[in-house]
Amino acid sequence: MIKNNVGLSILLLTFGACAGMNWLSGNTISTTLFNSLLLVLFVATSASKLNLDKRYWPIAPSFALVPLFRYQPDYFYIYMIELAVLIIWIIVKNKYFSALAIGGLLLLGNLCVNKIMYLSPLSIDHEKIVAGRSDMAVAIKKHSEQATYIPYRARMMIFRDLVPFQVMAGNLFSAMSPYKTVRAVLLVNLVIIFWALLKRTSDWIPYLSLLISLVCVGLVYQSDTLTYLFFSRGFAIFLVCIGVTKLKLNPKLYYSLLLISLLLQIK
Amino acid sequence: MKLIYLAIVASLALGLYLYKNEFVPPHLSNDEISVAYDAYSVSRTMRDEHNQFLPVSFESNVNAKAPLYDYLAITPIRLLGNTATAARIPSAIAGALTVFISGLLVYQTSRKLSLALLTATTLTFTPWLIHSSHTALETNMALAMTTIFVFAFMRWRNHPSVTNSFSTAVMAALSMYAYHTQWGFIPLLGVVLVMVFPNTLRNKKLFLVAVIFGLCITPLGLDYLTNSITRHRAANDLLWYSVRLRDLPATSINHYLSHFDPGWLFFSGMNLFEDLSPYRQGLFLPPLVFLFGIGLVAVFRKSPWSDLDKLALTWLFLAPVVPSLTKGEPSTSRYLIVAIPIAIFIATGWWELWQARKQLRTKIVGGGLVLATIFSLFYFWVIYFYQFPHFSGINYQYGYQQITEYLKTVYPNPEVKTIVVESRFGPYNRYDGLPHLYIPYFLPLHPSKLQHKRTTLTSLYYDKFEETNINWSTIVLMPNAIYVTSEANLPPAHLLPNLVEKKIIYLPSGERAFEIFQARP
Repeated sequence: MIKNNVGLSILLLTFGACAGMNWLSGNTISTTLFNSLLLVLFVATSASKLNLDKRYWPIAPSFALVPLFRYQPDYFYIYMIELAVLIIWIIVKNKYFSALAIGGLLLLGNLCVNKIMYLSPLSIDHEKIVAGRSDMAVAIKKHSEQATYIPYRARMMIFRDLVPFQVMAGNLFSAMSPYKTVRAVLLVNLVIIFWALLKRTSDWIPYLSLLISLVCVGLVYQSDTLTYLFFSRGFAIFLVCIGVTKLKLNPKLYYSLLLISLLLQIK
Repeated sequence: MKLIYLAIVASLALGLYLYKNEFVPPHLSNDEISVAYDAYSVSRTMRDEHNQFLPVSFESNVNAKAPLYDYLAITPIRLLGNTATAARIPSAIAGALTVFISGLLVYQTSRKLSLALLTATTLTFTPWLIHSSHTALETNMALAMTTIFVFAFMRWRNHPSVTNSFSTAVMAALSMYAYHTQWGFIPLLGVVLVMVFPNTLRNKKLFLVAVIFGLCITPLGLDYLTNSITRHRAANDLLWYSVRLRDLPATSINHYLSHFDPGWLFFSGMNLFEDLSPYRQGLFLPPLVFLFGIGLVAVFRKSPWSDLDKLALTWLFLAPVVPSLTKGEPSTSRYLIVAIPIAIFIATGWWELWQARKQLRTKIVGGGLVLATIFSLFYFWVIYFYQFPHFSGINYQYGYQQITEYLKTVYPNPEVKTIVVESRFGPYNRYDGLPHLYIPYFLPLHPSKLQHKRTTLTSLYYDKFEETNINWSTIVLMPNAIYVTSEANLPPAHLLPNLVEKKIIYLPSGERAFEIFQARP
């Protein structure tokens, strides 16, 4: 895509569109630049990895409308982690090393973006973690004290040890709710991503990214959709490209569906 | 013969839904007592609480209730007396009927008995159905009627006899008499099913079904046009009365999508305790989320879809349409209709695992899921049958039945001329209660007494009873009068010498809820 003049123009247009959307959202210049740059890099990488047919290139500028690419994280180093993930994804050919390195970085990034962990100074916010919350401890005490009809050890297992897992699993699956994901990637893209996920692909880094994001959102007490899907945004683009190719979706039809998605979402 | 297996599962379901029926939930809720009292009132006087003769829509708290449950509750209340169990029995039977008919529906559509049994068993142990079958709510009855309607429709599709046309139309109409969500859902489902199964369009008896259906729902339509309470409910609940027109598409789409939240469906949808409690339960058992996923993916990958796949997908995607046009968060009552398609997909997931049972990987995954499902059922059992009634007394206005048990001993006493009941309850007296329904129901008091009640701005009077917010600073104590007050509004010290404490009512968790005093002669 980069080597082709048309492709380059489309990438420039994508950059401009994303920068415009960020500017309209009132983001800072550095956020605007990083969001736009990362979008362009992810589009180019996806096109290159998938050998994306030229006829699908025109959909690239529409990714600027994906709300995840207007998100402004609180810390600059989060962009650096995302950039490192992208570079490893592009450069490292060994899939095990790549998965290990990307997995580690995504875990770190997700912990940071969800504000469970801070890098400077290095610290962990226990109140942000489901299992560490004080109100959880109060509820556990109340219920386990009442349940004297169950032997002590079993009671502790049921009412104390198991509960955080139940809450975390609930958070994790809630994060998959179409209601939440639509707000991050738009309805048309969500349907295409779902379709792409059904079709197996040899590159399983996108799946890993999604899995780590979901595991991290499980840990967090309450998380915003744009926050927990932040590190999956590039791979979402990759999955949309797969879905569009597999569905043989005409860009005109894609734009029409995108328009409907936007109209349905504008409040 | 095949029906026997389904009948065994349904009997198991009935036993489960009747288990601890009187104590779980710990007390009739305000919606349940309204249903129970109207059924009792109609059974004695042919008129409801508000003196309406055999209403098509029952008034309840300036709202309207669908009539079917109230009329069906008359028989158990006449047979068993005015108890919580009598009011809840129709719901338990409806739950068991749903289990039986859904199994039958799956068998009729797919000819796979094991899939039918899996669907019926999944439904039996679904926390959502267990809870709704333990409460006297219209929505559970509506689910049973809707399932029978779909079963009748699929039967009519294959054998379009006059009898089947009649039963399809009548069941569709009965569903609409069962709950207000069905007013939108049944016509929508009917039309879409006719489109999904095109051979029904060519069926000449379709017109007959439509005519019988139209005739059956005429009283509902007339009631809507003439009864302001019914119209008020529509205006109160529907989205377009509270949202600007330009926001309507986005809001309703957001509402629609929020009904597919797997976290809510499988982990936290059933709010048995206070908000954000870590002990919230899923509407389905948590490990079944994986089976639902497997079933859904298996169906999406299949080509062409079987009749059962088409039916389940249609039902699944139509179920949230009407609830998403109403205000507020996803409602477990309005959305209960989705329990059937989700159970079918879960059963399909089990079925797919069983089909691939020869692979070691499947054996491990399947075995793990079976163990996890059994354990999660045990966990739900402990939470639902033990913890929930213990901690949720306030949410169910616990205490009025227990107050009435005491009042039964003093009510016949001619010296007791007045019984004053505090209308509020709970911490800081923050909730409005319905003692004027609980006490006459459990006492029992002849319904004509409440039909001729007298109201003022601050109080409600019927028979010997006065329901009011007791103001101890201005009250004039009447000799021998009984005062029932909430724990948050106890009489001040200077009045205590004139009052005798008769009874303290405790919540199941051991906290004081109400106290009963008698004024000295």
